[in-house]
Amino acid sequence: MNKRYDIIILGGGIAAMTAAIYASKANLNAVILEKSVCGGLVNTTHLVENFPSQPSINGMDLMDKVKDQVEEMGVEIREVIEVDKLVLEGPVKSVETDEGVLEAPVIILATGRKPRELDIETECEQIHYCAICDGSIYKDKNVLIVGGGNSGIEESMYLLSLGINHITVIEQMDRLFASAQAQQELQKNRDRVEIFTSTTINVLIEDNHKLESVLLHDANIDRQFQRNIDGIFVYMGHVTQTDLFKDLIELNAQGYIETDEDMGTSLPGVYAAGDIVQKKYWQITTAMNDGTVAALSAAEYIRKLNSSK
Amino acid sequence: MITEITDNEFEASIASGLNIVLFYKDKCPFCNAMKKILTKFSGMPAAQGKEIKYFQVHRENNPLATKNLDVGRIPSLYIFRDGEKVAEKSGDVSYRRLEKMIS
Repeated sequence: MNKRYDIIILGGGIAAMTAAIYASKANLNAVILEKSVCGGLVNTTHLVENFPSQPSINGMDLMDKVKDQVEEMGVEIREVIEVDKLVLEGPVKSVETDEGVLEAPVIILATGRKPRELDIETECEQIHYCAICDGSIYKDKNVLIVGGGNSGIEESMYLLSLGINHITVIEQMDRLFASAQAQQELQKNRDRVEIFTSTTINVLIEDNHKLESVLLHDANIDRQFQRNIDGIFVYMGHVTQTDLFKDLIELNAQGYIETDEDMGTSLPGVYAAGDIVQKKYWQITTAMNDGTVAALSAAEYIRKLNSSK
Repeated sequence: MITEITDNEFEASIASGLNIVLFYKDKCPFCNAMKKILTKFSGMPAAQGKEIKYFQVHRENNPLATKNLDVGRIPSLYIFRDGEKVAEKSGDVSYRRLEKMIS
């Protein structure tokens, strides 16, 4: 028999967990379905320093606190669940998973984003997307950072703090996009850091499946040059995780969902929240706003649905 | 369900039978996910009757096993049968993928 809820929340990041808190406060029976563990991208952030009440906190620690709160409020959380199929149209939405079929009148899509992968065909094991996870193995070694945005520059600082010998930062555009403050911080380590703009990776050179060096291309002067590199950390922005519903719901050209002011989508009873929503600023706090509005709007939708029966 | 082992216990732990070893570290969300996947997998039909033992090794605290297996990216899973490495995979491994690795 299918398990029935008031709200199924797809995803387990901060938007999803905030929606769960508000759903619980509205006495709605909600479930979080997360393919990995709750926390989303925040889990891979070394330090969060823009979250009210927490001047500086490890991202995973912050998300664990939120998850504890969600669990204490009685919301069911199903982690490492595999979703096979969604039905989003009609009055009852359904989610087919490896743990059975779940149904609800409302679904909140909060599947977030993931790091954009390096556009090179390779199985090189020395390419990484999480400095917290893999940074420490490069102590006293040389690392290439791909991407000159806030993530690339801030993670460079983190890697330097681990004792990385030297960092080469490359950015394919003609300038860095990180904040002036972050750039200034990195420049304090200029003896261990070099930065190239308008530069991309041409070739990875491996020896016995181990990265030895990279050939870089500087488009400013059309020059190819080599750097001895032991590991690469990639911070080239993010892509939305919409594979499950990209054919079921309207997405814009960039793969984001454009919601109305209630976080509603093109389908009744389907709401969206967090990083999969088109917006100007993708922040923890804006994701929390989305989750709040989505859950409250969902509660109102369910009330109307019930009163019309 | 997953037994923590150290460098000193590694060889003896994997010496016989079918063993799955997870290399992890603290503050690694994907490692936490992998532990939950292993726990879930252990209860699945594919794992039943195979007498699989599950171990985890903290990469930072166990340099010998880490070096011997050339562990880089984590989480990294290694499958041993009677002490011989038969499969390895780093990064995301779904339990469905794990089923195939075991078979």
